[in-house]
Amino acid sequence: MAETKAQDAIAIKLKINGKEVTGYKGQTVLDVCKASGIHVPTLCHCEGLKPVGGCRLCIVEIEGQRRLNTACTTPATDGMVVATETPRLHDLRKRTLELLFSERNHICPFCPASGDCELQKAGYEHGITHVRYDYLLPRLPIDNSHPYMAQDHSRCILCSRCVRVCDEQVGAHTLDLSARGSMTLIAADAGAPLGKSSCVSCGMCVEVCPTGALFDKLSNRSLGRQELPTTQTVCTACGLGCWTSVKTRGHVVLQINSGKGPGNNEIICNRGRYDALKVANQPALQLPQLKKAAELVDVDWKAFAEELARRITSGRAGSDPSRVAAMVSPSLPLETIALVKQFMKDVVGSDRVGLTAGPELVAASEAFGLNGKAAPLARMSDLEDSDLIVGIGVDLQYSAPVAASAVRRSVNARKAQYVEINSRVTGLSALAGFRMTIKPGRDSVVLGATLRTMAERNLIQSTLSADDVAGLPDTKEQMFEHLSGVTVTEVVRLASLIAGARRPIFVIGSGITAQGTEAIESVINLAVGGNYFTADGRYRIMEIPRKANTAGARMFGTPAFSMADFDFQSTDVLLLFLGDDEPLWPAGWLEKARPMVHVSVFASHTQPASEIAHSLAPVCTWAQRSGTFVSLEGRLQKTRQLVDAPASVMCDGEILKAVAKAMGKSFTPSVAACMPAGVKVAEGQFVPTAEPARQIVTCKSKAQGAKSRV
Amino acid sequence: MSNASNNGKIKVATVWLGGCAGCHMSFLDIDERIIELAKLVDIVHSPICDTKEIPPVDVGIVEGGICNEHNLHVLKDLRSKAKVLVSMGDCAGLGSVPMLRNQFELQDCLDRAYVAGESTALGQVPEDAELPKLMDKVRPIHEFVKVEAHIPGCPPNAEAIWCALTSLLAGKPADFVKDVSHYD
Repeated sequence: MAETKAQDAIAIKLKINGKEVTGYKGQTVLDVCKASGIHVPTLCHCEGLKPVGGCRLCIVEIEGQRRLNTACTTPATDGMVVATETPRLHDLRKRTLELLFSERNHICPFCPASGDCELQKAGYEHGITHVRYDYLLPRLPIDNSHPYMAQDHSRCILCSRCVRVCDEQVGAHTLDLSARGSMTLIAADAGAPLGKSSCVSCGMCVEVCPTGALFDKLSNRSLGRQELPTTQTVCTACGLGCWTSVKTRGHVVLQINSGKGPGNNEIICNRGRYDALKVANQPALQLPQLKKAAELVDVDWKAFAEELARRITSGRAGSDPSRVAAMVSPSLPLETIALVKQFMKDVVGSDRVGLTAGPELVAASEAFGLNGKAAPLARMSDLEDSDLIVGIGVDLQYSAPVAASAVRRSVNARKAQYVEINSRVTGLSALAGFRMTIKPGRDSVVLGATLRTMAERNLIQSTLSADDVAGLPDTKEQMFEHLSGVTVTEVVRLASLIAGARRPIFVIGSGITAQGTEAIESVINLAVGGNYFTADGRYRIMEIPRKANTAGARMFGTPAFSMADFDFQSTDVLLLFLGDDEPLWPAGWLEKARPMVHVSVFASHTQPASEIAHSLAPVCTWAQRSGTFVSLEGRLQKTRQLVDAPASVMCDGEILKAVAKAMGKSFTPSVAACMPAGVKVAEGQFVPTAEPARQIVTCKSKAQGAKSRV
Repeated sequence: MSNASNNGKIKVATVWLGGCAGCHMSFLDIDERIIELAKLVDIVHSPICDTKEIPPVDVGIVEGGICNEHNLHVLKDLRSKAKVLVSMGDCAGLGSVPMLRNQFELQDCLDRAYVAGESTALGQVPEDAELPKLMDKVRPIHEFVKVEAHIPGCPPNAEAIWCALTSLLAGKPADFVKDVSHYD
């Protein structure tokens, strides 16, 4: 977007510090300085946030103007003559900084931000060795109520970056300024403790805080004076695939911040920042373990491989390899899934490779007609472009908080209205202009009836045939209101809201996909029936998958089984490849797997599945390996290895090689050959998508066998 | 700076006021360069020398802020005897940790320390004519006397102290702060 701006914009010429520089109309003086490599000190300025000109550090002298101007808020104009470094400016900036140092309690020696503090840096830059004003030394509170972050008002310089990021980017507007003047305090929800406020725990306020006023509890003691290595990588906490910027020291991941990359969402969330950090530095297990006399005991890798090989090649599994099954988490990279498939096929001789996912995986593959391709679904940019966002069976704040922020931004800016259809209250319910509480499992009926209402009342220019409409569920059906929990009036309201929108988007989550093909098809019907497609022909449907690589895992084709339809009876040896992921095991699932001859768990940390394991293999965490993922947008993204794993911990490939060796077979992983065909695009590009349907699917059309979708 | 003293050496006095002695430790951290320094200066008064009175000196170095009346007395004494006065460390120059008590009433601080302590039984605030009276508020030294240069840091690293001293000895302005000094 910035590039197009630069192309379209009118070039202007300025003279800054005696040097001719070129800028563009619409840029501020600070923008031009930055683009021309001229350093202007700033504190309240933050890339991506609206400038406020609050800290007065970026003051510059502009020829012909009597007073000084803040570079961050002054529009650059053609012919402007600017001075950014004069003795007068230096002196005033120094005084401003000294006033800031004297206003609150900035005691560097025990501040977690020391070494990474913009106030401190500005102090060094301006040669401040002492403060000429009297210290005010106010007694200010510390808010330690939040599990991940703390707020020390003593270190606050009231730059309002946290307030602006919370409002402008996160869309939560939890933080704001209270009181006046030097007694101003950053307050959450008009004075609530941060931990009990509407805070969504994304930590963006901590990330943009220039001082130590807001700081991370998980990493504040670890950050020191020296510059730490920072790597850009992709978050795998959910399917959005946001870019992150990760600070490491030695083998330790210290802090996760938002990063820059293709398809970047600019912010990250609680899951990407804090949940991911909590598992990054596992494994707690340093050695593989085998169950001996009901206790798991440490063994070496040779013993582990031999035991697993023995279990695979002996007993019933030895004579019938199909009694060996493997399940891979869709949070793991494509490489791991490919590797396990290859190992199972070539070494074990079993094609039973499933995914630790619910029925949504199979259902979506069927409904979207995938065949090594990604589903033709909407992207984040489509979400931001919509004027009506219909969340169906999804808690965006829980499943994909960064997408929830996009919805809040749209609604706050009055660009879009949010409508929610759910059986439960979600993190975004308060934002909904219209809410429909639906009985669980009744979505397809209500959505079908909504489309029917839209067609019958001529709310849309419909291409639906009379037959199509007749095949849809009807609000006139007996007990409609009782069965669905939704009144006819509500259906009519929803129908007119959707029909009244120019670019509606349907955001669906596991609440829909887990119901199976029919529920997903009812959403597709809405998009097809109302002709809601993106300019390049994808459905205006955005699916929020549970796991980082759900979209990628589907491209391997329909898996042999999911957690929902796993055949316990025909399995003796089960290999679970979980990585950092803790699947939402269906109730009683693990108990049913317990009596198997052998369950081997490949995980980075101890979790519920470890309970039933006969052998445990500690594997690399997300930070200790690289891998390929397909985001929910269908973008191919690669994570980087950030730190080395402990010497005793191996990645899945090496372990499987050792197991194959112990089985007396050779196993040369050829991951590239096993990858789905569709992923042969460059990093950051979209994988090819399947063709969307052009006709709706109804019970009637299904009965007639008219599955002419694709 | 004029070498007014004998053997062409510069006379230096250091004092330890309201600080933790960390700055003096850091001063000793300049390691073998102390031999080089000894060729240039005579440390005539310091917590590490056994002298009671501060003689007239070329450079006076102060660690610690002004917490009590004795601190102030020593500071004024040194100021009157030193041609150049330098603050060493955050407490003397920036107030820093000791200054935190200024947020509270002095009597509350004394009670907390001597009476209300968790392990204190029948405590009382010490009071004796020999004990210096605490100042109501802790202040950095430049709020009382003129200071020619400040070396921030908690403690300033040996490099900063070395740079400051050698700059001063060479008669250069003490603009070392950008390169070697820090506040933590």
